Amino acid sequence: MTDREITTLLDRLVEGVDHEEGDWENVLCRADAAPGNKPARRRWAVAAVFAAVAIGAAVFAETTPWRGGPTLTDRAAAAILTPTSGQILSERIVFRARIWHPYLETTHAQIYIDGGPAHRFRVTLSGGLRADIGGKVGGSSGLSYDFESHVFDPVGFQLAMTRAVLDPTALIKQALTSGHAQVEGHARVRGLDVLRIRLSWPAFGRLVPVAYYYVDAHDYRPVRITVIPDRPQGYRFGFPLSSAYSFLPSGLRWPGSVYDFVEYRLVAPSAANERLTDIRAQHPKAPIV
Amino acid sequence: MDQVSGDSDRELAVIEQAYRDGYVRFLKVAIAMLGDADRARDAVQETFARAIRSRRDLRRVESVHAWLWQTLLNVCRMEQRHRPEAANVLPDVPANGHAVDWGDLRAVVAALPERQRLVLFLRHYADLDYARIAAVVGVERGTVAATLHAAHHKIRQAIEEVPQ
Repeated sequence: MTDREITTLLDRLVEGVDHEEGDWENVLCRADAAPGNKPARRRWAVAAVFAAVAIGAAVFAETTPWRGGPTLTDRAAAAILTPTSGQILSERIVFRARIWHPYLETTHAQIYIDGGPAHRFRVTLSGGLRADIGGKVGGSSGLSYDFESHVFDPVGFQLAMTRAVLDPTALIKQALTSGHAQVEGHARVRGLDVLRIRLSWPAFGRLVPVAYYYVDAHDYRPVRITVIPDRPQGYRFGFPLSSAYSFLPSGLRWPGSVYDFVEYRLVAPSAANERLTDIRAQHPKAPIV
Repeated sequence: MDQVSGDSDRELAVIEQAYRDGYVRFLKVAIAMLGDADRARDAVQETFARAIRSRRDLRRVESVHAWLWQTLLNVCRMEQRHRPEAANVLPDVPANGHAVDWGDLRAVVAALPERQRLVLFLRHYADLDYARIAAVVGVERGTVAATLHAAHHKIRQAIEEVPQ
């Protein structure tokens, strides 16, 4: 075997990219988003949240209602909490993306959704992203706290901030009841015995797995969501934070992501808990600019 | 042309030209190192973003291209450390119609010592000459030739041992 033949063999191992073109604009954006360039980071972080789950919400809106599915799937759907009047849903999620980006290594999200008459929500992000956003569930506008200048920015959302937009488990519930969820069996996540549920999306005449939902095998509470990297065909499946990838060049595929649920519970609407849902109460001296 | 000098715009133009001219070669090396095209694309983007951020420092380096290749290798190494599960595995390739066992070829390449793999990738995918490979890897030019020869020998030996 000659060196030329070896070259031919090696080329076949990386074939398919010869005509690919890079995205220079993306390089410039990345360079601009470097640590130290805080204005760019802030704009990006806020955009990441507000664009939120537009894609994912649309995905399951197209599915048909589920009728008489597997019991375990049904139980998993039933274990997803919906705060009613007198309850506040508190979720703490650690979000990891498969993509390598200095701001996307790990993000800690805290979500509060008030089931009471105020219907407030508040989402805080720390770690890779830093943001504090609040508003009314179902509303199309809200406030974002600027950590640099300590003021509120009024923001308009791209879509009404329904629970399906704010809360990944609400989106999961839609998936579980769509008829396209299937329990695959037991697994272990963070030392827990969990059930692995495959969520699929109809595309191109077949069901395509888009995410795996892991629930505690005993009480069916959410443990983890793993969003599968996008397929070459280009369809996407989104959850909160996933649109943070909108800065990626068009040639890149959806990188996939992992949501680990650290806390997931309903809390009483005590005065202290109510304040947690109220972004104005968290930054009482901050003016709206 | 390899040397950056002048104002910031000119430095940026040199980096952009290197990106546009060499994108596919950078991508191939990254794919070979990471075994995942998505992560490889990301590594290339990150490499050039770093170059832009460091462009003032690039005035002092001897070769911008060597600096870029070194940075890509470092970015890929760091990515391998962060996500070791896919490291050192070349991407899946359909085996239909090929005379060799691709799984074996991938395994052979992945099993090469790191320096041999780097030299192999930089020679075959980046199309760098021995002098530039030496500058990137940090070895003598003669070492590049010997290392490449050893890598070829191992691949040749492994492939020819595969039953056809």
